[in-house]
Amino acid sequence: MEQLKEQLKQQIIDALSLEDITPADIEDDAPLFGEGLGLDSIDALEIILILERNYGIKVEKPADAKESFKSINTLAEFIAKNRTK
Amino acid sequence: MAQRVGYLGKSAVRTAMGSSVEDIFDRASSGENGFCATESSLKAEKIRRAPDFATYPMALINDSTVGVKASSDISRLEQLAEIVINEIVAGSNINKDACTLVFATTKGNVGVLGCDIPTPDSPTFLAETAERIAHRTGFSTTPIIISNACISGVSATIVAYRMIASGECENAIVVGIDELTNFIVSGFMAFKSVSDEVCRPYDAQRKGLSMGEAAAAILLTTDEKLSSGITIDGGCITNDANHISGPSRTGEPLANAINTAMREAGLDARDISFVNAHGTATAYNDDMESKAINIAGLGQTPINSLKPLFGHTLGASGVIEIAMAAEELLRGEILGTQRFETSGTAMPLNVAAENRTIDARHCVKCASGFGGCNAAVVLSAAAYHSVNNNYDNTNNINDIDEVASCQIANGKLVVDGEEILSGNTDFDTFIREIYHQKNEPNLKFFKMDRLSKLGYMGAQYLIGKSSAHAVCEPTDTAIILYNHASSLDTDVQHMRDLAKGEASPATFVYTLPNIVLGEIAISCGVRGETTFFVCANAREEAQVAAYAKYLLTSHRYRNVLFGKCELLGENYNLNIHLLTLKH
Repeated sequence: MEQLKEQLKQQIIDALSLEDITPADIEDDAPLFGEGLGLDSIDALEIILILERNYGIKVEKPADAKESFKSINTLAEFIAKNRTK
Repeated sequence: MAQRVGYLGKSAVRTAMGSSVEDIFDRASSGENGFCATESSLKAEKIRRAPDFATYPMALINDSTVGVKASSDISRLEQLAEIVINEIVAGSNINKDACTLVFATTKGNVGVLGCDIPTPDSPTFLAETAERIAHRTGFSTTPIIISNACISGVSATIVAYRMIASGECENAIVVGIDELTNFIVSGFMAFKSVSDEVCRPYDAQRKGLSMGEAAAAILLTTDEKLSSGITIDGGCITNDANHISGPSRTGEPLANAINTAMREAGLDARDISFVNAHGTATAYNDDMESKAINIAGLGQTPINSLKPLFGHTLGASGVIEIAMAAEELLRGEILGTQRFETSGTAMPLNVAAENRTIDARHCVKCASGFGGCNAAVVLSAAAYHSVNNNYDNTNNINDIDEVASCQIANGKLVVDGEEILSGNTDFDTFIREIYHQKNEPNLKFFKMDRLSKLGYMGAQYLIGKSSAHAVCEPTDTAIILYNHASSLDTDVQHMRDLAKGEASPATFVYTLPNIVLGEIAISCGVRGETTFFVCANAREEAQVAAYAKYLLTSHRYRNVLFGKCELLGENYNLNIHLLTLKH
């Protein structure tokens, strides 16, 4: 799980062009959206692409995944449960 | 000088469901829509143009019906534009030497763009596209090209109306044109905003938008003899200053646009017979509109959306929908919003599900789009047109001061004539040096495309929150920028993403040149007009400059951030000015 979280952080940093941010700057339970990293709806769509591309998870409606997108912890749990690759 | 009356003359349209406003009205009244075409040629066309998404409803123009020739050397988009312009000319007998063509398009000939930066002779440059169309249809006047996302058509109509009202020109033909290509469809699919059934505006079960394509032209004229019986009486463009793709949470900026347009027309909400709204059927757009329309006092006024008829036709949507709204006013009957059943918006609206007869006096047409932009116009049955003098052009351009300027080019940053930074000429390195020099951390900067980074950094020195001219009254400032390459730099990036098999929403949103205006508006708190023009030469640039100055001399705004924001590959050139009206 720890390894998955680290990998996920790096994937998010790369996909969202979060320059000047390192995986160590992202806390596992900090909110990803709004406060914290300050991600927005376009970032959410990019994270959906990460899920599809790297973990084989299809998210049709972004709204359905809202709870899972709260933090690195919830996102990693979601991936662990639903990944197909 | 008092404003002159802007009459709406003939319209010409080509859509998936008809080739005249009368035809579309009649077919829509009998329950037809442009998505029900079942001809195998159109299905094949859908598969060819957007192979991955061909199962989604799309409203495509039938080329053989409208006379587009595949064998021609002229692109399909340009042929469609010529068809609608020629139809207006033939039906109006206007003097072409006294008629300006005002184009509204988001993507022009983007269908032929590849994965490399286009060479200067590429058909993908919007201004040259417009010039070719103007030349072939026999116009020698300097065209105007507006690329303002999904409000392009309404924006272009407002710009044309102001040119007419202020005496800048006698006649203008507003041409809205966009075609569906894999470029556009893949982007909207990546945004997960496309419905798998024909769209259902304002309905509780709505699932997103349906895409369409259209070519539409309307004549605006000072000549009453050419009038169709409709006048354009007011218009306004605003920016949310909130987000580049998500609409405002409150609806206030769109409400401001509607209120200002009504005020310009000398009207208030009680005078409005109906609202033809944007109604894309995405969850967020329709909710935002429901709030805005209620704030503007139009919550009880009949409202409809025409998107279920011919889809969301992007840059053309404003033009075709204004032409349809005029037809509805003339008939005293509004079209029902097909597929609307159960209200499902944040605030209640009086959505017309079926056709309704109305006391046809005035109509509000509104639209909203990426970049946080909103636009509204007021149309009137000519008998109810009231003379207004809200925007007397009492000042002249000598009353305009340039209070600040910023240039970024050739590895130099110059502010108010003083060189602030000289560095690496490589754009990506240099813009980063400027960012660090300004030293105002903003994580969003790194997510912007290169065009937006350029405009954003320059604007920080002129009207940014820490600058000498920071915006104090958000609605008092407008941003008018232009360039030659539109968003082609990022368009190429989107093509590269597609070649790798995956559209990126974060790239796609920047394939509209007006997003840079949204980024500036957000960072500097600008809620006035934001309009992006595309120019190929000094004559076209001079016309845009005249428009920017008119916004000041007509007292619409106190400040206008105006200038060039050019970026394509390693060619970058920002030259912007803050203009204000002398006290």
